[in-house]
Amino acid sequence: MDSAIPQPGDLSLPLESATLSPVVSTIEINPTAAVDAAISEELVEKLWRTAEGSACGIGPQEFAVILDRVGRRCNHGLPAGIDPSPSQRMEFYSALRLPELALAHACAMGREIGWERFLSLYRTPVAKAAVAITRSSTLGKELADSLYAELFGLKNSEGQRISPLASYSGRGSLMGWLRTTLVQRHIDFHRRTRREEPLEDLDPPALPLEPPTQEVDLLGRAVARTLKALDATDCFLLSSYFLDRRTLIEIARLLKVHEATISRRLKRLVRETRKHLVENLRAEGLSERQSEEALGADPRDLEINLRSLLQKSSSAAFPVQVEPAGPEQK
Amino acid sequence: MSELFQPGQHPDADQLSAFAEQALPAHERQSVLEHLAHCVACREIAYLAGEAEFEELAAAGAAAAQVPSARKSRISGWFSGWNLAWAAGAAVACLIILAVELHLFTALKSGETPSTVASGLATSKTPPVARRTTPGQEPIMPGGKATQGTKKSVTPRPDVDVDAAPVTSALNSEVVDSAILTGRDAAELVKMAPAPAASAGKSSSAGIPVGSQSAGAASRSSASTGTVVSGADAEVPADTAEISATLNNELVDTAKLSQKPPKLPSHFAAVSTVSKGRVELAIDSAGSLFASKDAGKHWTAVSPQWTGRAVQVAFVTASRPEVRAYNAAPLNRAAIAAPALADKMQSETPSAASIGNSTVSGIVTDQTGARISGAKVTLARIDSAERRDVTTNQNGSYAIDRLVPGEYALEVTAKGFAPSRQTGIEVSASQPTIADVALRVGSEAAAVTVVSEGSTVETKSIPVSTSIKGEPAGIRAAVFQLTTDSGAIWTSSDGRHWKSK
Repeated sequence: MDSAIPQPGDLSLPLESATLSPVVSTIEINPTAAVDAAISEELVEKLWRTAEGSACGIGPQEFAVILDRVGRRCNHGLPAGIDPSPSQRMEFYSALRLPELALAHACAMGREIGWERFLSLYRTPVAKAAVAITRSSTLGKELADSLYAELFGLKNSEGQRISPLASYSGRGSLMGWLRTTLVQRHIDFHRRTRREEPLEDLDPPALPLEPPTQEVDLLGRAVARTLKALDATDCFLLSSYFLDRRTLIEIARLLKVHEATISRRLKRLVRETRKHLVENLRAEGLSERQSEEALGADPRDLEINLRSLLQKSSSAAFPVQVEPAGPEQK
Repeated sequence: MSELFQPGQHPDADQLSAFAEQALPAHERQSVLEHLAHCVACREIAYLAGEAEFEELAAAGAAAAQVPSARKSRISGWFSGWNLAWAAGAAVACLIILAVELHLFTALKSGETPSTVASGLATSKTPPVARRTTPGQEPIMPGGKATQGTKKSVTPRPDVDVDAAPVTSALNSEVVDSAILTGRDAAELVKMAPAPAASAGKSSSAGIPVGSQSAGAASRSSASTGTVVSGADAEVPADTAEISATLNNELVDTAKLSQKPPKLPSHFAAVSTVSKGRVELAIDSAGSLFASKDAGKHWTAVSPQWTGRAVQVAFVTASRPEVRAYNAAPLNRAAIAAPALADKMQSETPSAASIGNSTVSGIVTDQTGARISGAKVTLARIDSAERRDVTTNQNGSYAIDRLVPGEYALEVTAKGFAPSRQTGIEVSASQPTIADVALRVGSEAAAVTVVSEGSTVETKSIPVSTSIKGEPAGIRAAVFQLTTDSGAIWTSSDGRHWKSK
């Protein structure tokens, strides 16, 4: 075992011993105050052994500090405002991916042995994920290299190195975290390059909209009320299917359900949405016939309302390619 | 929410990845889902990460699928699957070929040449001939059994069944014919003559056995009867082509007749041989033909190009065929008539008044000596209206028995030949009369009259010397001639390639 690596139970490990690696870690670890008081030393050591902390170059006390920080950041898996009990804390800690958590934080702390282990375990998967994201081996290699540089740590204004790996909580897999980070960086890169495009290549600014008619205005309000009444999952389904043009299998893959489940739920959702929309239109004073006629309005008029209702974020990761139709028109 | 890279209300990578992996608690998952429902950027991140994970898994699955397939391809080499069947089939084919070669080799060593095998097969298809055998006589079966019987030293038997195998009868006919042509001593003829027609009518005097028992049997029967063969010199009228053969030119040395038969590869006894220079042909008792180029030192089997079994081989020149028979009963001319006589006995029913004990027999041939079967032979008595009609058998022989002694006229007609009429044939009660007829090729309307000059054949010597005047039509070149058991005649110039006549 490396001499720099603290021994289990060595709580008097100085901070300098944890920062012997060439990379200066900015993680402030106070071995005396940061450890969760509810966690006994035996439990910490057990979790440390489970996390193979020695193989990553971190000691039990450092690991205890990491656990405490992750627990407090996530409120130990409980909603905000709820004080977790020791058992809930223990349950939260035990559910974490401890080896990956220890490895990620060891790399964030700049432990060389941790980096060696990280590279041996994740170099090839990260490269493959980058290629899969960019659909190009060249861009994928560039993306992976840039991520490595970022993960190694960037100095902030105070001269401290900050590694994104420190944000890894261990609830999901480290590879999933790396993949999501790669996607974020890829989208950021796309945003930057899109902003650098010449203005003449951009689409001309849209003409000012004509004032909506009364019928369209009534329909817009009814649609707004109807969509606000939907829960998060239904709204996500509508947005993914009608706005993002995602396929059923893509939605099902993200939600970890079967494709048929998404299909059935979408059908039911469209039917109920139409029903609620007609009810809201009638509540606006329209007759049933007028409500049905209002549903036959030009969807291009309703698209603005739907997008503004379903998509609160104005920053699109990718330009919208197809003008989606409202669920009522399907 | 992470304050590091996704400031504000956006979930960070840790939350998004945990959301995608269903690792978030319910309240946090709901908040992330609400955000995703309204944030297209985070939805893009989530979906793109999910697509990348799916592609990674698909690539890993494809790689994992390729590994077993590659391993399988390595395992499934040429020695697996149907390739083994091909190899096994090739091995079986090799074994079959080897077995056939071994069989042929052993057959050659044991004397069963392919031709012998073929003839044996043909023989086996021939239904066995129903025979009546005398007590103690070993039945002569066609094929190998008969051959085996001939290999034994069997004591001569006096009586031979009329219904002997066709091979035997045909062979004996030729033997007798050739013996006659060789001009043997009449006394020998008398000794070898079978029982008279009357006794032949009892179907006990015609057949000539094969092999060493033949001579003894024939001589014993002839000795018991003392038949005198009567012959006649043929005289062709002046208006027709005079055909006569100088038989003395083709006399077969008597010593040759008694010489030791050649040892054929089949180890069967030779029943008929012929030689032309150093080329010799031989037929064994199984009906297979063998040829030798070195005067009988080495024999090779001739593949049968005919159906049935070969029973007799001869060398046909412009005059008559040369035939040698080993240990067969020669000069038994009556044996020629016996089978025909037996065949015609039941079909011919002479009138009761004309029933006698005299017999007239003979052979109907063409100008080259080839025998004519199916020729109509009419024997008419001069001093009465008695007429007897018979037809020559496959050997071209005929026999008319139960004749009243007297003077007869013989008329022979055959399709494609000019009719022949022979008068002045004296039929005596004490001895059978031989009346051979050689037909000329021509229309049936042409009449050929043969006038007999001699009334009785001398018993001591047979003056059968004839002379050929001119070359009659139809004379062939000198070729080998082979006769099968069905009567078909095949010719060959070299003894190996045969053509049906």
